[in-house]
Amino acid sequence: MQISLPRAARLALTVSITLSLLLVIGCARSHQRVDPDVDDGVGGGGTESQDVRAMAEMMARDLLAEAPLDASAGTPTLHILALDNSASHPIDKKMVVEMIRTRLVRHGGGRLRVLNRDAATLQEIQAERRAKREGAVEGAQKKALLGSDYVLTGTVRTISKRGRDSMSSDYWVYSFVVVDLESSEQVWANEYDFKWAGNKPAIYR
Amino acid sequence: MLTSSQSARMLATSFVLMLAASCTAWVPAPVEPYWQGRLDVAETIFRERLETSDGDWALFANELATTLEARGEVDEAWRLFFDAGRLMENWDASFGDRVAAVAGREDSREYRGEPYERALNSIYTGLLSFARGEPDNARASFREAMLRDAEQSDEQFASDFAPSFFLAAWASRAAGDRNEARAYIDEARKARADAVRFGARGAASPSVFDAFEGSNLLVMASVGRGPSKVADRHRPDLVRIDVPRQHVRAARVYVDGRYRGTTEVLGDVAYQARTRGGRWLDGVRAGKAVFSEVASTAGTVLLLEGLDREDGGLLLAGGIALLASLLVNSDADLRCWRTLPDTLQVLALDVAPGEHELFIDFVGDDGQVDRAYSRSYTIRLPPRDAASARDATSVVHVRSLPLEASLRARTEVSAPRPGGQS
Repeated sequence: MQISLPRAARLALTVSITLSLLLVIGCARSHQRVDPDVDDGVGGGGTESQDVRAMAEMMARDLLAEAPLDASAGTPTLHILALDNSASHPIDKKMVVEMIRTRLVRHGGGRLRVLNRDAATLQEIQAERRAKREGAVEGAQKKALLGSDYVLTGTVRTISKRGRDSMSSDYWVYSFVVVDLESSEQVWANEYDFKWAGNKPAIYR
Repeated sequence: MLTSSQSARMLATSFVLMLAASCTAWVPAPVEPYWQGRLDVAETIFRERLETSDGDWALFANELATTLEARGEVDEAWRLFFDAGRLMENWDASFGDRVAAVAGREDSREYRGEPYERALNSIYTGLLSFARGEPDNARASFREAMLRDAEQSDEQFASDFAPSFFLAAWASRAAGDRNEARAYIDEARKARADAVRFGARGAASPSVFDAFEGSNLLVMASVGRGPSKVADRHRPDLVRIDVPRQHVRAARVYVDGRYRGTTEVLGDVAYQARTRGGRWLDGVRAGKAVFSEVASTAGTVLLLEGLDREDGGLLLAGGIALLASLLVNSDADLRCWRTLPDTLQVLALDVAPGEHELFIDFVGDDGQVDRAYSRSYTIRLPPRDAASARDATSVVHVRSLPLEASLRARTEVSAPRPGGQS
């Protein structure tokens, strides 16, 4: 037997089926490899992978291209001193500094020697040197620990706004400077900035 | 055209799908092992829930991080708090999640936490940044806590959670900015006075504010068992904040065997959970509960009107309103961070640089000490360097938990040095 459903029942049926399908589809989960240089679609703000990568790449290339590093007494040495977080959100400082250090070494091409003065690493280096000198481990070459000609320091700042209708924005600025340790001259500076804005959806208010 | 059996099957299937998608209640993880001090058991439970999480990753990351911090595993705890904090800040929701949250259970949406939970996530991230030797990152976290506590639906409230400001003062001083530190102490005084005026427990002006300038060691204690959300016995759409009976009330601090003082309440977590900007929220109904009730009433009225007037339009509108009221599940979202303390307490001390034994025990209302909660640390306070802009400030954070002997016995802790390098 065939029946013709009343309009209201058809509408109710359609709404019900559509909502059910949306719920099922909405709950689906999957994983896929994505490009770390593009937005991952996960949402949220802050310092994202593409920011860290782009910033580290830009800092390394600009510093090597623009900074007037004195090479008259040999390849200049640089020590990454610190990244000071003066923002209103925590960041993974170690990750940012390590990525900048890696890119400086990679793009340096012998024009710049980057020193690793991370407290833990320096401790290990000194222990290994002692072991070499005491003959506990092999290693013919003896080198002095290099002093630094320049230091790179960075500062992170944010301007955070919270407004009506659960709107919010965060303006991030990463500033970097290179200082000549002999003259205290600031020989290079650059900054990287980005801004996030959004609002809290009604389901979270 | 559909046959009657096809129509019936489709209707039945759609309702089953709807029920399956919207009525699976969230099940909390057992939290008693944590409060009993069986931290290895608690860790296993929270790790399992973290791996199988569905919409509650940040919640279990916070509970696991709390457990790991109590075990002294600073770096992993910081990472978990940090990652959970980023997720709690991510307001993006897929269309499916929005539909599920509207038509399904409240707890089908991704857990982001209430303002007090988000603020405490920032505070614990900051305390661990201190322990990692990063006072600047700690200050950033405490500033974030201020933003999160003030983040209310109508944006008219300022943060009244004094620990955010007070800790930011310590972090600012450790990072070398004394003027900013003093400004934060002023803000902490105001926030504390406001909170007490509206009903928070503890003194309106604890002595730590005056002791700040002359102190170099801050003992911060997360004391007691924090609030949890429960559904009203008769009205499942009503959220109530349940505050358990407390076993301990404050921490007593000894340095090198000498009693130096008892911690004072600086932040009342239960008060923060129950209020927004001083407005009491306990028993507030979820928006969907109101919608469901209004839609149900409106639908009935429209149907009756439609029948009286023989108006098909009114009948249709009434039917849709009734259907919507039936589909909307208005049970309250009871997910909450259940390893939070009842209060945040502090004691500021002036201690000579060098190595010291710090002994801490916890007292109950009756003044009795439960030795299972006592613990000692060896702390090394850095020298005060007048030439350095950075201040020799150290922060030690303890949680009131009965600890197993291996964690109670003279744990070696170097109080963090200021100016931690990357």
